[in-house]
Amino acid sequence: MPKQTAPADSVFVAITMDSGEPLRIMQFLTCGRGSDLPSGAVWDRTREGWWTREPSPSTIITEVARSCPPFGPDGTPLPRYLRFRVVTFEDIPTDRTFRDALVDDGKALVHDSKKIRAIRSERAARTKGAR
Amino acid sequence: MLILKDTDSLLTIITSSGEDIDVCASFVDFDTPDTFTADSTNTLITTATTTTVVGSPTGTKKRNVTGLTARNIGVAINTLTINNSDGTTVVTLFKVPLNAGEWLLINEAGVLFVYDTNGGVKMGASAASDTVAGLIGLATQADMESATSLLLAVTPGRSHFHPGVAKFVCFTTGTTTPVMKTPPSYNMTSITDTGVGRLTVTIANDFSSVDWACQATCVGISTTLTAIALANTVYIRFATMAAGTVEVNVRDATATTNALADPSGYAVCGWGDI
Repeated sequence: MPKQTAPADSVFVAITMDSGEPLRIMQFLTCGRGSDLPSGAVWDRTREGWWTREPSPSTIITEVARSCPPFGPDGTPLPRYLRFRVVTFEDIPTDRTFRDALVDDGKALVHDSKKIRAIRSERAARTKGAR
Repeated sequence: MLILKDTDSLLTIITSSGEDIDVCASFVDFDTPDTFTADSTNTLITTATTTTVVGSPTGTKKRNVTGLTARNIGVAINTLTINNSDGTTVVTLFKVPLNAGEWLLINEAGVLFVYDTNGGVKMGASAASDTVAGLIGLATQADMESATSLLLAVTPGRSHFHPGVAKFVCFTTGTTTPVMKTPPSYNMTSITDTGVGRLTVTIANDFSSVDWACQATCVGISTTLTAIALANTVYIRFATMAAGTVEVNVRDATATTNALADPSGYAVCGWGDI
């Protein structure tokens, strides 16, 4: 499988959730296309129809909050974010075998051994059930 | 070309109201064999009446009207009827309503132009339709949302307000880390890899409510469908539709558990009111 290259005009943010939800990894666009400006953006004078925005703490926290609404449309509570951290594309593990076991220890994105064991058990049970 | 051919010919303007009209007419008299005499007359019309703005030529002269302007310097509309008489028959050349500040010009070719208060030529007086050329306006956001006008033109910056047009487009690639591609992505600010087989999309300009139609699909991970785990199904995760975000999930067709599974890419669009 060809190695992915880091996309331009993007910042990546690792978002740690509550409720045992997997770590979320956001691709925050610093440049986009649309007919209306999103919050914190300005039109790109060199490219018609494109906007740019700085990945400032305020724009990132706004985006994280928007991507994690606290409630669903029927009032169902949704997982909430506890903290987030800007990471590089290269910091994100490429092997997704245990993607849902990823956690952010504050320095790196690492796999949590307890979560790996839980995933293995679930897969084994599923395989057994499928037979 | 407007010719007054004999001593009975003249050009008149009938005004429908007392709004003041300034008239300036220029003309050239030709007399055989080779005499040309240029002249002009200014007329101020202040009542609703019939006024001669270009009189008859004298003797054997022919009068070529080379230009005529009439400006409404009043504060309300005044409709001008411009008549040409050859002494026997009176014909109406033009009948034009002039709003305050507007003016008309008949050039030396006899062609009429009406100018607005900013000096721009008014392109027509009737609305364009399927069969009639004329004025055409631009559709507003409300016009686009009602989606019924057959007379208004759509501009690129408002086409997305039509209910039949997708309000956002999200397309991702990358099996190790989902990455949004722009274009074709549109009206998006971020995506979030929420876990295996899970993607949250965040829209730049939100819908006006949570009631909007989401369509999602995915790029499969193989052409081989002999294993049911390679057959993907995409759906919207329960309770995640908000005005500005939605989470879509992909599961494989594993018989007993329907496990979440990563696709090669996601494609998500939405329709609704923004």
